Amino acid sequence: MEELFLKRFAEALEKEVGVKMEDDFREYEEWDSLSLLVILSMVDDEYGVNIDANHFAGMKTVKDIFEFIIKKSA
Amino acid sequence: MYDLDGKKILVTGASSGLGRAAAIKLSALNAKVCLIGRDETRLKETLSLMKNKNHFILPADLKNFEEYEESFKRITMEMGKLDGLVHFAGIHKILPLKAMKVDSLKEMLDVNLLAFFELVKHFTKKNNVNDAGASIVGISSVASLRGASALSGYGCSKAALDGAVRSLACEYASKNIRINSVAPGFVKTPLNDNTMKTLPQEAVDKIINAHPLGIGTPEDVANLVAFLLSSEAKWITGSTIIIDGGFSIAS
Repeated sequence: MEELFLKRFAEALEKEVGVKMEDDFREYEEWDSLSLLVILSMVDDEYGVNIDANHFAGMKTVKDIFEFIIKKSA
Repeated sequence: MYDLDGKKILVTGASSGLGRAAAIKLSALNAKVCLIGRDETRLKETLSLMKNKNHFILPADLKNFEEYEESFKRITMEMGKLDGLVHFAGIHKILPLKAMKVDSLKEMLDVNLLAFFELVKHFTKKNNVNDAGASIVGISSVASLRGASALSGYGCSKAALDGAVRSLACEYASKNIRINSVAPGFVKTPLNDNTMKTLPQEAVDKIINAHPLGIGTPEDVANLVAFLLSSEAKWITGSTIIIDGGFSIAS
């Protein structure tokens, strides 16, 4: 599940080198104002989990998002 | 103030937000309203806020196009021939193109656009519409006129609705059926509150500040819709009327 999440995350941002759990995603060169919506929509489509923008603002790493999904789907 | 004096009006999306406010307004003007929405409990809440209790509730999912014929039969059996139709039901998705799946675009088009076509088709049948004429209002958006990132799907569904209104207005003018759309700017509704939660605060502030008169209320839109449904608006057809606190004219 972890691997698939990383794959989906990288695909959503078209990040060819892939992403790692510890990455601060806002530091990606590919990150722009629409990336937020792209990631929120990927998480909703693939995991059926909604993340509020306010909540998202408190997330820093790829792992933060992954753990939120795990918590919500439990 | 004009009166809708017993006019029979069908309102979709009546369970909340703009549709609910319009249903309340129309009842205050003494119209008899058919409330359509997916959630019966919320439709009943709308009904409890309306003047008079002679209205009709019909829970229905507008994506089920094959049910329309039967639904209209039930409505006209209950209410008689109709004088007005307003299509408030809509889906508002903020999606950058790369996050847009064909299915989510289709769902938005089904409810925002195709449902309008099917509603108009059934509404205008001889057995369903008042022989003397009627008024139809589609709910568009300023997103049909002005662009914004992540609104291509939504904006397209609303621009398409406006396009449909022009030609349908010509097609039904001889029957004295007027067809217009209303394009609101940002209005404070539960649906919009949810949408806004998906946006960062600075994006929300930007939207609000783009309206010189501030953001609107559901009642602002309800007033315009009620006017278009009334005979006071008898010379207006095929138009898209902007109601946006100045959003679309501000630079």
